[in-house]
Amino acid sequence: MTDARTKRPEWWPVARFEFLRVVRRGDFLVSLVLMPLLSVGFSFGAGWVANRAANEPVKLAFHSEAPGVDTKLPALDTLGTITWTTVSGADAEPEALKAAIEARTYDGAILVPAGYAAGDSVRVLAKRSRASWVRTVRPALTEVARLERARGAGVDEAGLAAIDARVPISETLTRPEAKTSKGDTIAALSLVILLLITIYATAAYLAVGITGEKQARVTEVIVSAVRPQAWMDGKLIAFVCVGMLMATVWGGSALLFAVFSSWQLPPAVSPASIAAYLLFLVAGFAFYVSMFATILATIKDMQSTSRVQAYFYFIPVIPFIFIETILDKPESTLAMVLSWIPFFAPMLMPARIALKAAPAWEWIGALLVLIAATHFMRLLAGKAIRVGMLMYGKELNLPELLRWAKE
Amino acid sequence: MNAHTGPVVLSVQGIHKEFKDRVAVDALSFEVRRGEIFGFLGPNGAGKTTSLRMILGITRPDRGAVAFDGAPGVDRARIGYLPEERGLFEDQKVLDTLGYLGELRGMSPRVAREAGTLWLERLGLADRAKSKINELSKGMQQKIQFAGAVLHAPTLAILDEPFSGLDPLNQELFLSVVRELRDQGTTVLFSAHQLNLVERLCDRFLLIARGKEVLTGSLDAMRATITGGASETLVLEIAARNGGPSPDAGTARMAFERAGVAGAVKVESAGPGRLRIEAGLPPAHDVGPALAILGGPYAITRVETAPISLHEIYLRAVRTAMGESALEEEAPRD
Repeated sequence: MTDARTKRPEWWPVARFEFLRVVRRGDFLVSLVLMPLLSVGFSFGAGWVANRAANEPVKLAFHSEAPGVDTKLPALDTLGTITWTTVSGADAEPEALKAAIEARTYDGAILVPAGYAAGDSVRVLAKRSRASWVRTVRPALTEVARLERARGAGVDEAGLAAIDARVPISETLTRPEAKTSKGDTIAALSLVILLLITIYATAAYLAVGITGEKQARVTEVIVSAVRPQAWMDGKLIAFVCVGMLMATVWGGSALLFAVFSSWQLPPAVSPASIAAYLLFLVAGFAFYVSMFATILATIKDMQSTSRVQAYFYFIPVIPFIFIETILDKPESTLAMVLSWIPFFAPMLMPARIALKAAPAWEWIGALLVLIAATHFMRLLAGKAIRVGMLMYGKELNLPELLRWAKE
Repeated sequence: MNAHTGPVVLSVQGIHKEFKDRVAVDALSFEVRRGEIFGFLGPNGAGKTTSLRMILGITRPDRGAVAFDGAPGVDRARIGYLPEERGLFEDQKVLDTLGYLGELRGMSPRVAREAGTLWLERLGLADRAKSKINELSKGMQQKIQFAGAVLHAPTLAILDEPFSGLDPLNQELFLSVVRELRDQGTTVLFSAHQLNLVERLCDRFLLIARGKEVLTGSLDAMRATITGGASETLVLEIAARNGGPSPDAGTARMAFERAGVAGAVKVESAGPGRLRIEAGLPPAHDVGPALAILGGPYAITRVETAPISLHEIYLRAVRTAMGESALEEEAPRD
């Protein structure tokens, strides 16, 4: 048997075993298929619900002391499914209208005073605050008032249109290559979201893969056969592959859905951008998996662990706090600094690349920093599993881990 | 090849390990030679597991060195390890688990599975190859763990408490399997608390307590060391004859002194008018004079001789090293 020993790297059997162990699980296969189906289902479901809500008929009582409003307002084509019943006399009294609304005769009521165009308040009666029909009626009333004010000032509709006409702007970029397409932004944000979903989906299997073995007391057998670092490397490679498998299936499903649902190809994205996004996807995934593995290696038992480690699980979400700022000002100092930090780079740098705000030297530099940080994190994870395994009766905390890491 | 004089497979030189509040292993040195079964014994907390982990390279000694087959460090692919703290992948099938453990030791997947199949047949578990681990009894899982530790035919197998959880039939099976391993060229470093089994299996021993060597050598050598040359135990029971005087401890001791047994003679009551005398004897020692003295006034109701057991050696050596109170807490299971 000695002659049959192979020359494969130490981590290879670990990576193979761990990968197959996860992908052969029934729940993994179910989630792999279910996620795209659920996403499509939620998309259609949310659209259907929103459509139903938007087309729900709204019945309003209307009384105006200003002439002409009762005909101009319903004539606007922005009111959608709102229907009007003009009321007057006793029926237009607030108390009577309140009773009618409570009795579901109307969904609400609008009382327009004679001086509404001069600034007098329009009174609205509704069952609850911030009713959606109020948001629809408000701009319509403003438009009617605007027309009334223009007429009072002797300006007809054609004159008003001339006043409102937008000033044309011709844009000339100092760097023509910085022109961005909608496709770039969509592709970058899609990959960022894909990274976030897959990292958390993989984290569940990673938790079982690391703490489960400690609880089953298998770890000592394994690290007597392979170096703890090789064992951890095998696990990390396996879980990166698991994550990339999920990303491929889910991302591919999303792409197919986008193509077939709109019967058109997605907006063009440059091959260089796609390459950069994929590099950050893989490197970012490896970094987060290594970070989670380090944390998990310090945990003795998931049931009894202190919850301090759980806060590290939120790190991949933190970049979303900044994403709006990054999208708005991708060349700002804040955007540049944050997108170089390994904890945030996998999310923020693709966004800046999409907006053509990160030249090649910058994203390549950030990628190298991310790879170096991943390498450090994998070494820390290897150290944590070796030290954590020997800590009986207590969990390894981060200061202890850093102290042991210097050994 | 004589196991006691074969080449050194494992050399441990002055390994020392301290944890925050205690010394776990204190300058421990020993050698294990090719083809022998070496018993590594000691009470709970003596430092056995820490020593084994340093030998395996799982932890580093603060001082000292380990050499395997003349080279520093360990060759993990040539060592098999069955740890005391052990478990298996409960969601995996038996043969898949063995295949994986073999692959970790450098075997190809095919060869590892073939070796796993052979070991399952040897251990009577061939029909469970496709069962999941969590479907097996504790004893069966123990066998799978053992097979996983040795299926790659290691040069050195380190077995820590291999008998725990096994019934007597399976204990006997393990004894024969370990001997087979030795016969096939695997050197075995063995740690267990079942001293009656260890005594039958091991060629040489190292007994440690509180991280230090207490006693080492073959069973005969340890007997000689611990008893000052006495290797047999004589157990004698005497009683008063009808109407005769009751035996007393002073007379019993005097009789053995006259027979030239001046060392350890333990006398205790065995009931009303009865005494139990236990004396350590050198090999082939004539106890006739003592029996003649005692057989006159008293009835000799029991005479028994037996070699001093490993259990007795262990107790005496550890008592000496740790004191009685410590031993009560650390008593071995026999």
